[in-house]
Amino acid sequence: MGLSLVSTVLALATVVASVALISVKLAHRIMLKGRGVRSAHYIAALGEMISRKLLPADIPNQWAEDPLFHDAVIEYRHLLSGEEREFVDHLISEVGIVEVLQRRARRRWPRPVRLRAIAALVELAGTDQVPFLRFLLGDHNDYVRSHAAHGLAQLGDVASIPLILDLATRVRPWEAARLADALAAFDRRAVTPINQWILKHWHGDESHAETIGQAARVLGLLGETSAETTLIEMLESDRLGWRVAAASALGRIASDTSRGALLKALRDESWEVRARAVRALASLADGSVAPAISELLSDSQWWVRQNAAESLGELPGGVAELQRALSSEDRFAADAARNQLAELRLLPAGADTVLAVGSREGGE
Amino acid sequence: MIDLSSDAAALSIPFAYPSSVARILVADDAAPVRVLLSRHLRAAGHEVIEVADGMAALRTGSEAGLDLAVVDQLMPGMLGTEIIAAWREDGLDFPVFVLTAIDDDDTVVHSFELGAADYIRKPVNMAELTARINGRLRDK
Repeated sequence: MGLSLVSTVLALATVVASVALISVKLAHRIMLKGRGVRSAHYIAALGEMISRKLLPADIPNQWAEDPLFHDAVIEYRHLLSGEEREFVDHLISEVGIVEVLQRRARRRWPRPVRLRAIAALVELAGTDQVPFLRFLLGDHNDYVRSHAAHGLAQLGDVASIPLILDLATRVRPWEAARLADALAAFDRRAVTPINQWILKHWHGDESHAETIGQAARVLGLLGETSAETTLIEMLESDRLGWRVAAASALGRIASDTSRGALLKALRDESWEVRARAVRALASLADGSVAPAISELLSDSQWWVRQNAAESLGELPGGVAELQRALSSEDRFAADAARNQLAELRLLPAGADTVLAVGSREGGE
Repeated sequence: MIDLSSDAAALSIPFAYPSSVARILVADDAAPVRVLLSRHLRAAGHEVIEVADGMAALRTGSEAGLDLAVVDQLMPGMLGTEIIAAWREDGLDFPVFVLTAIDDDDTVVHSFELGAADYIRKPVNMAELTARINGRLRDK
């Protein structure tokens, strides 16, 4: 009797759970279908308006409020140039989308709504939104702050660069890295303000020092030779983080001006700097540095030896250095050379392919 | 509310219409491209076939007797350049415009090597693109 009651209850519970699950699934499907239809309607209506360059006499209120409409407008804005793009900007202003997004980007809204609004705002913002985006740099939410920085970069507001770098000194490393990435979106216009900020805070505290390292990375990404003087000074500084960042950045810029400083950095006390300097010299594509790099095939660190061998594989005259190193009395140098020649399929027939991997001194 | 029916006269298109109607394929997975370019081309008197993926584009190009095609480089199923290569291999030599957001010189060169008529980078000036297409059709 008791057992039968339990089975009946279990069966009923199963039926109720199944009905509930099916209902949820159906509701979700209907909702998705509804969103798809609404989105397609917006795409079609916008296409009509843009091609005619005409707005309806009565703009429905829901357009300004509906994130799907915002998405459709963003798609058209990315697609178009010329007069049609100007019309899209006019439409954004007439519909009042930016005002809605500004409202939703403020603190009283739930986080997902805020983030969606700020992401859309960044896509649709004009230069008149610069003060608001700067205001958002002071927000308590890290995602909002980095979105705002990207928005300012997209608008090319170079006056915000010191503000973004100042912010980077006060936040966690991952966010500082995201803010630095935003600076790269400014393109070459960012080089002078970044340079000026670095020089202004050269003797700042530790948080400034870390941000200067990130700023150096950005200078490398931008690849402008006007940043070289600052980067060379950083390469010759006492701070390891700066030297590492500067060596990588100079490699990206790849100009002859940095050759001397990079050659000097091959003798840096840190293997991280030596490894990056070796790669940076390879990017100069100048065979005259091959003998100096060849010496690092005997470096105490495997990673430096490996980078030296790879660099020689890329440089004019480098393969000859690798072939010479095959007969070196230094087993580590010979191994690094053998490994690279094998990679390049240039290893002489019958050469020993067994490699010795590891640090000859057990680390620095 | 706007009348959503096609009304060519309402469109202000700053170029001369081609001498004859052409059958044009617009292949792009982005709906706004299809909607807007098709409207411009239809307003210029052409017949337009819209598809949203590479395989459908390939099939349509092989079967529909096209006069010209506009293909997006990055589409689900096949790349624009792969589609052109397949058409050329089948002996189909209608002009193909490659439309893309990719800023990559190698892809541009590759497209022209395969016989692309033009390579258009997004963002696009639709009126200019339509004028280029009409110009190409006139020269054909």
